[in-house]
Amino acid sequence: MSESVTAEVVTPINDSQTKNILPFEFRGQGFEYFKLWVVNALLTVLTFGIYSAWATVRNNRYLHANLYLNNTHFRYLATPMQILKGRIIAIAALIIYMTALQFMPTVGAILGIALFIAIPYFVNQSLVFDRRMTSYNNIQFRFSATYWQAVKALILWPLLGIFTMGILYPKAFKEINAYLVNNSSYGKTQFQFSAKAWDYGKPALVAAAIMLVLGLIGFGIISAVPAFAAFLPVIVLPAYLFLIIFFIVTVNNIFYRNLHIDEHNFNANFTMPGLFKVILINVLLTIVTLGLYLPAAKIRMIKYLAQNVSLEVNGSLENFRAAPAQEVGALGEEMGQAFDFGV
Amino acid sequence: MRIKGYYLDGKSSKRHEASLELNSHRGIKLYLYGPSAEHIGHELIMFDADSIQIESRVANTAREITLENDQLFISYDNEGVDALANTLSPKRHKGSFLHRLESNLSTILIATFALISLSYVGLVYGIPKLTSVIAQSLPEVIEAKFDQSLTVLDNSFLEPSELSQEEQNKLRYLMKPYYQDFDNLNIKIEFRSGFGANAFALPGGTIVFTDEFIELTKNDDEIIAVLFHEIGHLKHKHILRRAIQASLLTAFILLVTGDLDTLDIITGLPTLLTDLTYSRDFEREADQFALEQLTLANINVENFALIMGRLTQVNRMNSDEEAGALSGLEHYLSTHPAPEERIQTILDYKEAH
Repeated sequence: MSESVTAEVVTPINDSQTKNILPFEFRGQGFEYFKLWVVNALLTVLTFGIYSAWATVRNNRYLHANLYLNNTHFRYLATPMQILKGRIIAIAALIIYMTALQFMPTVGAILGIALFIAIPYFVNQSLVFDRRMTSYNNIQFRFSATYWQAVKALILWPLLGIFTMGILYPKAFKEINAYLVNNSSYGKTQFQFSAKAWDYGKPALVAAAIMLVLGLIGFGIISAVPAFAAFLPVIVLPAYLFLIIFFIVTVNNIFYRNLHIDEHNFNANFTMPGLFKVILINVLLTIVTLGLYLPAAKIRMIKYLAQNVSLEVNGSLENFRAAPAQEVGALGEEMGQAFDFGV
Repeated sequence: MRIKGYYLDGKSSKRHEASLELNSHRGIKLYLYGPSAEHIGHELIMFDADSIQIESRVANTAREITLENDQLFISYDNEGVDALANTLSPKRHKGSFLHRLESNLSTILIATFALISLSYVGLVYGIPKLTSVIAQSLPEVIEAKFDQSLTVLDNSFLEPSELSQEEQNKLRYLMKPYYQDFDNLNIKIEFRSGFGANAFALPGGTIVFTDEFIELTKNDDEIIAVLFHEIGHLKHKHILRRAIQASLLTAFILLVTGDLDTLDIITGLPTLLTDLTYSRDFEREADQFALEQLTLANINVENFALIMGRLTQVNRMNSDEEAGALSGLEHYLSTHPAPEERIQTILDYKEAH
């Protein structure tokens, strides 16, 4: 301890030059986004969904271009045609699958199994597409994982979690996030994920313990005074909401606090009251405005998320190098886009 | 005209302060300022105007001009970039059309109004109409698949009926004349208990009455009234239609909002509320069907109102009548219309006929 203090005292100038905490910042505005969104939504409905590809690109360009780190914004690179092709493939595949299932059940079943086997491949491809379509300071993000890595993270570990009655769930969670992070890079520089399974296990145990105690108290009260059973929904619903918010806050905090690139470290400070306030305001205003507040709600949410993530920069952010141009087969890319699993 | 901004070489993440200028021979001059060019104040790179691409404008976000070999120029001077785009190709400068739509207050107002009207028409007429078309054209195979649902219910909620086989047969014999006209619906009558006073129809054609319900009825006509209501659900394929409507509704919301990822909780609620509205419409349709059939069978429709009134009373007693503040909300959160409304409809029907 005392050593690090003296080190700081000895080299204060050097330290202040190299170590710097930079917050993420979202500069989008609710009404500005609403204007974009409402025109997009109308054109999408009028064209029976075809314009949705253009809408997605324009909305995403707005959202990316307003996310800032170190006074520099992110950029969304996909073109409407790429998105449209992906959607047409997805819908065609769905129709073929449904028709086959209806009229030739055997063929349908084989297609279903083939799709299941192909899922890890599609998830990889969709992540490749997603990352490549985002850039920062004119350097694209990248994703590169093997089929086997995807199988392990997305299928085997979650299955193990189920078979062990949830005991291995925290480990499975860690593995999924490690797969997402460790295979991602910014230009040539890989991201690193340092979380341990126990980081997820601890909050899971706390949540389970709280639920158990609350459940027992509730059970006790109801068996003593059965009339209180009528109030059960009034108690269960908030408890459910509490759990969801606890989950989102915990998982995101763990994610960013263990996210690194080079010697730079991410950090996050999401809090349950903070997130609850955002969700509450968003839900209420969306209901009151019959859904017209939806775009502004999205802006408020992203603003909150961005505000609470920061990057501790050790050294310079100017030394990242672009990865060599990557030729993804047109089909692979569109398949990835078509089966965008939103991981 | 000189546009201020930043230059990135496409190889590293280092930003250079720069400005961009169009010369008289369709050449683009890019000036870089920085320590590396200190001796003359700037470094100059030339581009051919045809080799650059100006991105369309999105609100007031930073504007990108892509140059050869992944090089990039970024500017916040949207007006300047618009002017440059206009000078380079006055006809092809179409990107600004969308921006004009998106920034003009009157188009926004019109778009908002049009979107609300279209959504209203789509939700109230479009989806229900499309659903009945789909439900009518779907092969019977799909409905037959639902037929195992009674087994599932038997394993979870329901218990065997305590009525004797003789009593059950008597009731089946009573109902038979009223449902045999609908032989394409494959109607089968079943008796169970353990679900309160209730009757419900399953898509395969099974209609289930609970012992508690039978006990509650005062005469046979009341049973027939409820039987007709359940046949109404089957006749109009309500369960199948509700499933189709739910998927159409999700597709519609996806279409309008563009994505569902961050807002599941927020879009989920309106979806649920609309789904419940559809469910209440189905109940009204089934009630209407029952009224018509009762009239055809020469049964006094008042019986329908009487049994409904008693069912409501019993069910309310069981749920202990929750806090008064909730009762207003209850209307929107219920799968069935308010019983008072339904009974009134029956009495109105009686007066009109």
